[in-house]
Amino acid sequence: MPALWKRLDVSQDVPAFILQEDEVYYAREYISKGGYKTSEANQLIMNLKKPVNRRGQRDWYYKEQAIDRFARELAAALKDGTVIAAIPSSKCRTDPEYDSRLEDTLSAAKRYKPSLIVEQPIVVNATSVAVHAGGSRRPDEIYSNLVWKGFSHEVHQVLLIDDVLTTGSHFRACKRIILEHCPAAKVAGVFWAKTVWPDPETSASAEVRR
Amino acid sequence: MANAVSPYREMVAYETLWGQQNQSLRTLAEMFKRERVLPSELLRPELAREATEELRERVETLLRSKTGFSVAVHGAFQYPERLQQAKHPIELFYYRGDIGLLESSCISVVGSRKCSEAGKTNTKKLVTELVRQGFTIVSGLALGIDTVALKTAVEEKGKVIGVIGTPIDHYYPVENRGLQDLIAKEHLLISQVPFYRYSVEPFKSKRNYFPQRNETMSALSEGTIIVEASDTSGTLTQARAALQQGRKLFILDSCFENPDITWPHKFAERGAIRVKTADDITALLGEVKET
Repeated sequence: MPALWKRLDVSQDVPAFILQEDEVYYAREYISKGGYKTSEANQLIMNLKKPVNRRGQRDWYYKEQAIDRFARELAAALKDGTVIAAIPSSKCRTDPEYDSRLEDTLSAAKRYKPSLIVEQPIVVNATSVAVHAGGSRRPDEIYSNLVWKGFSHEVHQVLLIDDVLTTGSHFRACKRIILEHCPAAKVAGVFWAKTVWPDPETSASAEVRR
Repeated sequence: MANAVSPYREMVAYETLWGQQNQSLRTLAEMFKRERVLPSELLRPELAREATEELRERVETLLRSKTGFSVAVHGAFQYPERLQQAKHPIELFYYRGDIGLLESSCISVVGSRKCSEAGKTNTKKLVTELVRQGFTIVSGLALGIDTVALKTAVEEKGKVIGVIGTPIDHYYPVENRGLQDLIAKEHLLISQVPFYRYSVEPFKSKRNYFPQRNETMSALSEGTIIVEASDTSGTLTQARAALQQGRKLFILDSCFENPDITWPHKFAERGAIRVKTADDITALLGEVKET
């Protein structure tokens, strides 16, 4: 039996932009700023996020392995016919540093479970600075960079997929634009890992509160 | 999402089961072994006992005031499956810190609360060497050997896992409050003790959580090292658990030379390994996990 994902609830530290009514799932805890070096979660996320300029290098293999693992775990956890969509990254598709890891993960998940429906209703208009490079975590700024492309068919429920849940700002912005166009749709978030801070005072929630 | 659990829901269900009359770690473990379901599924009306709803409400009222920890549930990502090798496995536990540490090579270093100076010196020497070789040190945060083992590992810049026999928001003994907070912040702190049951039961039965915690420490570790213990020490619970769970049990050579105790020879007859140095131990364990 595949391992169970966790639903974000009141027993956990809720990221700054996630609201009580949000339906959010994650598999593992990712320790911000280090964590144990051989922790599987930290290793998987580091490999998945390997920068695209490593393409063709020997370590690129680990990125492909991470994508495949993410895809298999997603496919195993989702019901037949589930509609999934990637939360767009902060870079637009024409940017040379654009990383297609999430699209690749979703396509691979569909290979493992062909009944999955992969949609791409939202794209990013202009490249914004990535959060880890000092970019914005504010949902309204992220929202203003999103372009609505729409679904290819009628959608009642969609799972927004991303690798790491930190503040939830991208999820918030994407959920907002979907609900503006499809007010009756049910939107949930699925993340491979949720960031945890060993010291609560340095958490994203604390950062936003300041 | 099909394959998902709500940790909060499972915590409330598990704590409610623990709060039922005559429930114990053994009865719960047997029930979970038989049914193979989540705690919330065990609370289904047809399986639940009388007055469960009222109990669940009381449990939830208490749990709402508890924060600052996470919940690991059997079957979910990052719950260590090896815990199921314990005689009475725990289906759920609480933790603070980096759960990823459970994926490292873990070894328990335990012993008496009232320990000798030689015992302290031996612990420091052993732990320093194990940390150098990359092992994560698991111990119980009791006074004596446990404290020396954890403090030494932290001082040597190693990683530690503290497993306590009180609820995760309690400190016992109070002397270790600072150490426990440090472990929760920079390492990993674990407790299997149910908040509600603990809050309503008499002192006498609260003591049972300490030996139960030792069984968990053993199950989490590749091996257990006993540095020093008397014939009646609670540490011997972990010795028995290690053998029962198929883990390696190491007994420090000096224990065999103490004429006042008989347990080292008894355990050696049952498969425990007499060791002098950290190298004797690591030679018998697998490679330290690295990436």
